[in-house]
Amino acid sequence: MADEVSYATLVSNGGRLSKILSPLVHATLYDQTGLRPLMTQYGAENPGAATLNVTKVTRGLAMSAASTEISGGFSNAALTTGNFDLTVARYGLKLQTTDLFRMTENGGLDVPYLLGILSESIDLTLTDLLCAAFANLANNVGVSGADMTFDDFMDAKYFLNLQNNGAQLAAVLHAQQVNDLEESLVGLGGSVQFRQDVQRLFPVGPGFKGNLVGVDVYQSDSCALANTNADRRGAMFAAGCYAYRLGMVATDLMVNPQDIMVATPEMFIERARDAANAMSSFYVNSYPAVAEAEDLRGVRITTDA
Amino acid sequence: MSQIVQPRPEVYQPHDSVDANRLPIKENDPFTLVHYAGAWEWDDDAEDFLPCLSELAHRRGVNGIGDDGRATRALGGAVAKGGTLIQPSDARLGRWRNYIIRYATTNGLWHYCFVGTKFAILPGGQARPIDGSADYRAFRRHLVQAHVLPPIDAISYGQIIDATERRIDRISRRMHARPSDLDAATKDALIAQLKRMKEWWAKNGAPLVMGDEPAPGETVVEPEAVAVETFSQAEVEAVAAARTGRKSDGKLTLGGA
Repeated sequence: MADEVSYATLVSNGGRLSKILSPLVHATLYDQTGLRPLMTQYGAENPGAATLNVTKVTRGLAMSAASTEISGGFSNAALTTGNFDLTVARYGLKLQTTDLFRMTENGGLDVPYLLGILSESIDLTLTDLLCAAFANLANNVGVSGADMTFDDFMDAKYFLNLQNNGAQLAAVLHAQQVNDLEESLVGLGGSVQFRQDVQRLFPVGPGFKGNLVGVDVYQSDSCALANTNADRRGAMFAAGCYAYRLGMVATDLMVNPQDIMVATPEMFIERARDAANAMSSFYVNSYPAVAEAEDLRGVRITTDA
Repeated sequence: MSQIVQPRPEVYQPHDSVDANRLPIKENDPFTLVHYAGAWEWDDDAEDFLPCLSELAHRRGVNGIGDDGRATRALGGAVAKGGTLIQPSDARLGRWRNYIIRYATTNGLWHYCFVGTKFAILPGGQARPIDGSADYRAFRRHLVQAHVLPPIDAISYGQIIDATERRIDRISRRMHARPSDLDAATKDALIAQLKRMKEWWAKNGAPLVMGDEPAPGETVVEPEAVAVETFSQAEVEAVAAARTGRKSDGKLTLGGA
């Protein structure tokens, strides 16, 4: 037989395409963990300086017994204060598109998709800043070069308990540390073996993993290498250990409203046109700051990478 | 008289997917090493107590570092917490002086790391860090021997001993309900380690360990030496003094952080 109207013939001669573009986009693996909720936010307005100074007060003053029923006044009790700084710095991200890119959009990789990438960058940036601050915690558990174990996890929890920390504990660990911890949990025996949270182990993937012996466990690839790449550095900390601030950019926008693609009080995405080269740029700007509010509310966990 | 000119072509070299001068890894920031008094660990290979060092990253927006990138405020905070700053320019550091190097990354920025840190680029373009922990341990030991840091104090030693004994107890309790060869081996190792730590406390001393060499066949990317701006000790101490906790009568307290 001859002269079949076939797909192959039409691809060659016209009438069919060898491939078309799917409107669905596949996002390759990345860690989208946002750890902002683990920090305390300060400053919902711009204070007139790039640095917001936060006062720390030591409370917990108990009364002293009077020496006699009719003794005179007491000596002044000393009120100890300290402070820490939240200094914002400008962070930004830019994506530039050509006119031809936008003309050939088919609903998959298009400008709204790119704006989504820019929008999620602020949480990823705060996660990076938080994990960068772990290195400055004064106290450390874990052994350099040794895999993380449940014992290291408990050492961290015990340390925080000794400092009178409250019940809201969180552990942020690298994937390698989580894997090692889970391996250690599998081998546990005794009374701990039969706890439901130990039996359940962890779901795969970054972000919130579950609660283990009262501590919320998170996995993030922003936990840096340490000790010349031998180890990974995570941390366990209580609420109030870290503080953050976002400059309120929305109050000072001097941008043509038509060029503002996304606007929130803390960040905005604006468009800039390069007519000569037929391109449009999308910029996101924000002013974050992260600081360690109180060192004794946290402890580093440094274990083998 | 006009001439016929034959231009010479250039030989075209297709670009390799791997740029041997740049690393395909995430950029980061310069840092200053800090030691806090209670941060020590036992190195079983060298049978010595080594200081655990913190890397205070000079990251804009973190711990008071602003757009100018100056780390004075952050370093002052570290000193206020009782930290000892390890100046890169300190002559006592010996061969580890100016301990920050940097590699160019494929996105046009820099990756800062400790001197001696090496990476190898695999044929597929992936960067693999080469473990330099042996040299880093030697550096940590040198910090004590060169009197940059004081030796481990009795309180920190006691805490490490307590933590080790607690771990042995925990394993023993587990083994009572569920005997395990692995737990038995771990417990025996910890008991032997405890004995060595106590012996160390009596005599003090440890050998130096040289750094690792790259494996045969690996391409090692050479780093670029960089001079990092050193901070003014007087400025840092002024910030630390301002941030140290004070009582309402103006007197200083210890550990105001």
